[in-house]
Amino acid sequence: MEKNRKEIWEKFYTNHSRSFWFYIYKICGDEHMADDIYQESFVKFLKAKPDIENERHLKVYLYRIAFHLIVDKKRRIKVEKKSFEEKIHTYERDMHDARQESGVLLSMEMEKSFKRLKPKQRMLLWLAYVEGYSYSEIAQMTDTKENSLKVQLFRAREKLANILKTQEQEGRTQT
Amino acid sequence: MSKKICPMETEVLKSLGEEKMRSELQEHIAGCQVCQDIALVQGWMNRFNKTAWKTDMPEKTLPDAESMWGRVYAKRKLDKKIVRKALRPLLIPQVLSYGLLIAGIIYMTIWGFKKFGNILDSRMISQILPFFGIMMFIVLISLSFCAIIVAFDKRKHPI
Repeated sequence: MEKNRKEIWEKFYTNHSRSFWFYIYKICGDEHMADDIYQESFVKFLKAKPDIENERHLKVYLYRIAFHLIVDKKRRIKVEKKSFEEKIHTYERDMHDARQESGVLLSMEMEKSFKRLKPKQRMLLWLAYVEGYSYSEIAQMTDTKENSLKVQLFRAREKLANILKTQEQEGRTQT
Repeated sequence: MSKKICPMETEVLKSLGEEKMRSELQEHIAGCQVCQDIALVQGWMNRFNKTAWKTDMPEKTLPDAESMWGRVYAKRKLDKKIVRKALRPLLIPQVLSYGLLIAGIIYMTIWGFKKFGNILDSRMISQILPFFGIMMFIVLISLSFCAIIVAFDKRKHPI
């Protein structure tokens, strides 16, 4: 039984660990904090011994744990601003380096826009549009009622859409 | 009040992932602000995911499944040790109270019941006893109620 659990765990971990870390990193914006939350989430996940029904349920459960941990460390999320500024500074220093990949600049600009949203808004958008979860699954993960979640997601989407539209307009006027 | 939800949302989201989109859906998106925002945000989020993944993830190393599994079990052992260590000072009063309880039971069975019976026969005790019984019953009921709430809460929030 334990061996079977371990096998399922290994498969689950191999399939989802990287995307899970990436998700946490994009929400809290700090690599060290992402590492902490990542490890703590898996520790809690394994300790709780969830019923292994299907992979999607397990994933929802894991993301729910991560959500609670992120909320717990919300106060420390202030660090993200500093770390992002540091990142910008380092990038600007290396700006003239010809070896810099063109994708980095694009990624930094996109990240800047994404960071203009609140952590919860980022989380909701990521879960809905990158991970492709349904309203009911996201509601389960974030301990929110489905109707209120729909409104929160609408607000987040509207805010990001407005940011993108403004950027597009600014780009047009510059050209 | 502006429209916050569109009944076509799920369908639009599904079709955005596909190569071809039905013409009715294209027409719907053109006239629906919610679906326009969904298309814009979904497309942008996916581009962001892909670009950021390319720049952030190649250098990132994460612990493998085996070591993570081992870490959790080591932590569990350590947690048990810590709990045992923390509870050690409580061990002496606990042993003492069990000892006293056992001694009390032995005393009552050998010598005490006769004397206790005499006390129960007295008039004052017979007046107090029902009241005491009711109080105990209330305490028991509230304790079991608390236990049910705690158990339910644990099931609801296992984390």
